[in-house]
Amino acid sequence: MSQQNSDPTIYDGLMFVSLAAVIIGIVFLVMSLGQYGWSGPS
Amino acid sequence: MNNVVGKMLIVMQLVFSILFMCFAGAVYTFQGAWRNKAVALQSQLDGANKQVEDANTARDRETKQLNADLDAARTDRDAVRAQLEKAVTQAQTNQQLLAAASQERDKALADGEIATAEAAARVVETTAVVKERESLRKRITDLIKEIQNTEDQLLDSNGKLASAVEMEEQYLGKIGHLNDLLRLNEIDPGQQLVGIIPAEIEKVDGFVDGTTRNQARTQELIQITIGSDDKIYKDMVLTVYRKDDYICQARVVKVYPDTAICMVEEKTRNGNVQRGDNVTTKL
Repeated sequence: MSQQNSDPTIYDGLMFVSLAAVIIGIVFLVMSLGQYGWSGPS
Repeated sequence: MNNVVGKMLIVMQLVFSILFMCFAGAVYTFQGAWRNKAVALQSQLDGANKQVEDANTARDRETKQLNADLDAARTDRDAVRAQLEKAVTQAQTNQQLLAAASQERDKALADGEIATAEAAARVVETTAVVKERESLRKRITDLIKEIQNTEDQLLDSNGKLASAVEMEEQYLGKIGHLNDLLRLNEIDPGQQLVGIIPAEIEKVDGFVDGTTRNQARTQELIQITIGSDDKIYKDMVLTVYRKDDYICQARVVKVYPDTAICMVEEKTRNGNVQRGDNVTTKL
């Protein structure tokens, strides 16, 4: 079994930053829809 | 090689995720203003729609009103047209009456001109009649004066006649007295006394002083300028002539001292006796 390199790189951090930005954007959109009475998926 | 592509994809994912987050934040930030603006626009849209509806309602109402007014106007137009036709008919009738009146007026004017001419002629005639009346009035005045003079002369003549009648009565009384004296002396008063007739008739010439005829116009009497002073006596026959023309013979019927009255003997007449003709006792 070959040993793999498990050290996180900068790109892994960028992936998380990207995930955080997407989540924040989704939160913003949900909050915006909430302003128009959207209650989310039933 | 795969790592390079994966890295590029990761970077790109990061970039787009950040862009998505920024756009979502911007939407969340500005959506209130957008909403207010949308609400305001919706409100304006509703107001505009309401105004459009009101305008349409008003237009419909005005359309109905205008249709009603149009119907009323058409009715009025028909009435006015009927009145116009009636007025045209009346105008034609009035025009005919006017033509007739014009003819009457022309006829009246012609009659008036004729009457004016006749009036002018009457005025001229009246002026002439007035002048003639004035002359006749003047002549009447003259005749009245003449009548007064004649009446005065008549009164004088009546006075003279009364005096002559009185003298005649006196002379008749004297003649009666003389006749009585003649009868006392045995002399007939009715006996004709004839004067001494000269043995030879002397030639005495005279003129005819006037001629006249008796009342029956059967005898012509002439008055001559010689009388008893010229030895003219009653029943003496005289010859009347004019220049070398013999006219007639006349017998003395009455003698006065300086004149005598003779009667023309018609059987000897050879012309008409005129005043101024010569008279002689012997040719």
